[in-house]
Amino acid sequence: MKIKEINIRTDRHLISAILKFGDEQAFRALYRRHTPLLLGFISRLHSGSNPETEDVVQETWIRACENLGQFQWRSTFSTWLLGIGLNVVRNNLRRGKKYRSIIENLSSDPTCQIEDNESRIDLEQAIQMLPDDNRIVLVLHDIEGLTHQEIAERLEIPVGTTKSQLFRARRMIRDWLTEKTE
Amino acid sequence: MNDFNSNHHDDEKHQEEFELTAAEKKALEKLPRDRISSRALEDRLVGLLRERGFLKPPRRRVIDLTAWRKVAISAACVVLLLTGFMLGQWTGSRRLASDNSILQGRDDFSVAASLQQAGSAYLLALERLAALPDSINGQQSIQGREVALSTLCTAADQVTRLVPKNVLAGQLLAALDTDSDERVAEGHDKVTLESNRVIEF
Repeated sequence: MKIKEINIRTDRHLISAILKFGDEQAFRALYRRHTPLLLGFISRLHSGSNPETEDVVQETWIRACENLGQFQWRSTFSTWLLGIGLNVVRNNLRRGKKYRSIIENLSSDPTCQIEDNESRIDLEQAIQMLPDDNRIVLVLHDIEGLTHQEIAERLEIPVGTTKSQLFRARRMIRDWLTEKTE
Repeated sequence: MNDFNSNHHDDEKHQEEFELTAAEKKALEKLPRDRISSRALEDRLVGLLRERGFLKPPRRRVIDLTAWRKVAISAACVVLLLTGFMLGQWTGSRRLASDNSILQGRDDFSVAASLQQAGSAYLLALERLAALPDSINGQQSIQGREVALSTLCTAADQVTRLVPKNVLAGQLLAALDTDSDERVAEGHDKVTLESNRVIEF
């Protein structure tokens, strides 16, 4: 608890320096502290190439900086930042949906992807292969540890939908991994 | 819509049956949450935020001069100035003393050298005087002898003053005085004789 408090204070101090003085060093410190988690989160949600993921991280930080003055400290800075990252990923996925729809139509049955892919499918790859909505819910619930209620609030969808999406995601992953091992 | 509802209902019905196994949970927990970001991304982002005026370039370090610091710096300056001044004075005085002693040594040396030169010139003149053809009876030689004796007498007198206990100089001076008295007496007699002669004439 104490460590958490110190972290919050330190984040507060850094953010205060950024807002008051445009302190570059403070920003770099804040960036280095939170970007590894953000990058891991975004790369798992986005399932894109590395440069695309970095673009999303960059956009997330820019949005975060633009809204830094409005941050109320109702959550930790990290949670707030991941929330922004989640929104950026979802917007990106929506924009890119029409381009990816051709590929999705071609491989509507996820098992086809496994058959086509001769390389070993591990859990990480299986998560990447999930449809966007299912992947996001699975990552938030099973990896980030959010409840269905929290996910529903973040994504602005009913709790029932998050549950069903999680169910589908888990089923697909289990099927892919079971088939592969068989 | 009905399809959606039936699918949704079907999912919910199966959800209870579809819990993750312990192995699956463990596998998900093992997935790394962090990823190392590149420095290039950081620099690119900082550049963008600078362009947008959100960040300012690192400031040059400015020393904060509080009142106490100002006083301390001023005091240090004064102490430094005084120390420099005193050090300069001390060095200057030492150099002056050294220069004086060198000059004093030079004066002594030059006086000795002058004496040496004068003595040599005196002896040389005496030698030349003695070498003159009319050195015994000539009028010029007599004058030269008188000058030589007078100089010798004065020199002996000075040596006696310099070294009062010098026996040689004392004896020489005494001998020269006696000689001088005799010569004066001789001169007096000569004058008397000549006056007599004049009287005679």
